Amino acid sequence: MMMSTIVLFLAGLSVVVATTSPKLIYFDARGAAELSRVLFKVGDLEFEDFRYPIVTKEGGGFETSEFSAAKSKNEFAANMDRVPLLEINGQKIGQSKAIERYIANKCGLMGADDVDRAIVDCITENVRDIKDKWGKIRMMGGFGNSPEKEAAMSKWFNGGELSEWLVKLEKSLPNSSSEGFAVGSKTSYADVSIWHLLRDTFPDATVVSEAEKKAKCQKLTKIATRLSDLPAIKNWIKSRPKTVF
Amino acid sequence: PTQKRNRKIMTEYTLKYFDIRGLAETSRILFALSGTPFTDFRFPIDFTTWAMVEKKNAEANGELDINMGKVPVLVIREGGVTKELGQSRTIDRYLAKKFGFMGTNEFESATIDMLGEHVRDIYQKYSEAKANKKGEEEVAAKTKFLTEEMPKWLSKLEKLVGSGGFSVGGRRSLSDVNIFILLLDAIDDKAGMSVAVTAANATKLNAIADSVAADAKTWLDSRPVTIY
Repeated sequence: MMMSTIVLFLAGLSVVVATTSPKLIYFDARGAAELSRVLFKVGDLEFEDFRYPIVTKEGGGFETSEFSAAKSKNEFAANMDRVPLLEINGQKIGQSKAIERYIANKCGLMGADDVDRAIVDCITENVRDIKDKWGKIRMMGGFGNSPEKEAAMSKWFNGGELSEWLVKLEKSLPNSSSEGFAVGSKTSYADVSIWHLLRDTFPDATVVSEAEKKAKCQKLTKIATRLSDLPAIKNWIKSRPKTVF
Repeated sequence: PTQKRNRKIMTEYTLKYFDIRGLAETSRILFALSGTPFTDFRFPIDFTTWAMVEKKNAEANGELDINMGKVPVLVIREGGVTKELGQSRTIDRYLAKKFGFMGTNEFESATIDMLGEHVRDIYQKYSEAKANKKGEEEVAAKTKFLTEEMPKWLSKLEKLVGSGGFSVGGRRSLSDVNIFILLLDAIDDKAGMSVAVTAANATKLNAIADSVAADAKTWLDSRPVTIY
């Protein structure tokens, strides 16, 4: 009886002493926040995964009333009235990429020294360029379909556009990196962003696999495979909320 | 007693880009503000034919692989070791950190990073507004954006920066240079941009841009004059 009381008392104390975890604020979607969430998981840093609900309206469109209310109260001023936002001990950082770099830095996922850090930064920007090109195709004319969008998607996958980018991305990796690692021999933000591009971005896994084969991007495939097998990523994929986007 | 001489390892920088301001100008200004010498390598562009033979050769030789075949590329030579970096903003952040322009703690660093991304977003919206348009149509689109949209974005950005000519931490940082480029260097319609700044009442942003212009005066007065 005495021991359990002491244990409970100490547990209570540690709760009082702990600082609040960072709070990631976004919609209930993967979108521009998912890479941040994965970085927290891979970096083993606790965070509050705050999500504004998205409600599909009858007859099409979405409603995000809680988000809109908070926006009108200037809660997202740090991100020029948008999300995601990272709240750390009352201070706010906006911009998904700045947030990702902050988390990666905090978790030791930014390479071993200043130059490696910059190479990690460079490779993630290369990945971003590819994702941005895909983003333009995906959002062509809005959420719906169109002949132009279908043609662009066909060119991206079957037409080899994605493969061409993967060839260039593969060539941008330093020759000195270890197998399965984008930079050096430690897991970095670059590895996570490559995994995210190849395994968590496109709706059809077979089509991406074909693009990788066409590109012969063995280094990129090895990185994506190694990251897929990390318990942190496996568990997150299993447990995360399932959302449309 | 004999004095030991401390041989400081000098770092040699070569910044390879087109002969324009474009995406490399922020880095060039960082070199200037820090007083660091660098080789300002410029690939020529023929603006009538858009020929860029030397850049294409460099691409074919694999010199631009780190940046997926594009420019800029920063070559860093230190103690017999050569490393390369691609992506203009990565280069900006690397140099800023090296020269002490990324803040003094991780929150300042993240804020400077964030403000740079905000400037990037604003310029991207301006670019999108005028994309695929030519001649009078392009001029009209640019003017429309500067009159109707730019002031709204500048107002939002204004809320996030410090006063006295410094956006973060009361000292020179990368985001100051980003703001200078947006307000005074990237947009050809200088008068239109100036009106937008006034319409937004962006007095702090204005002070920051002017402050950088003053500190970088020697470079700005002597750099090659180019259309873009």
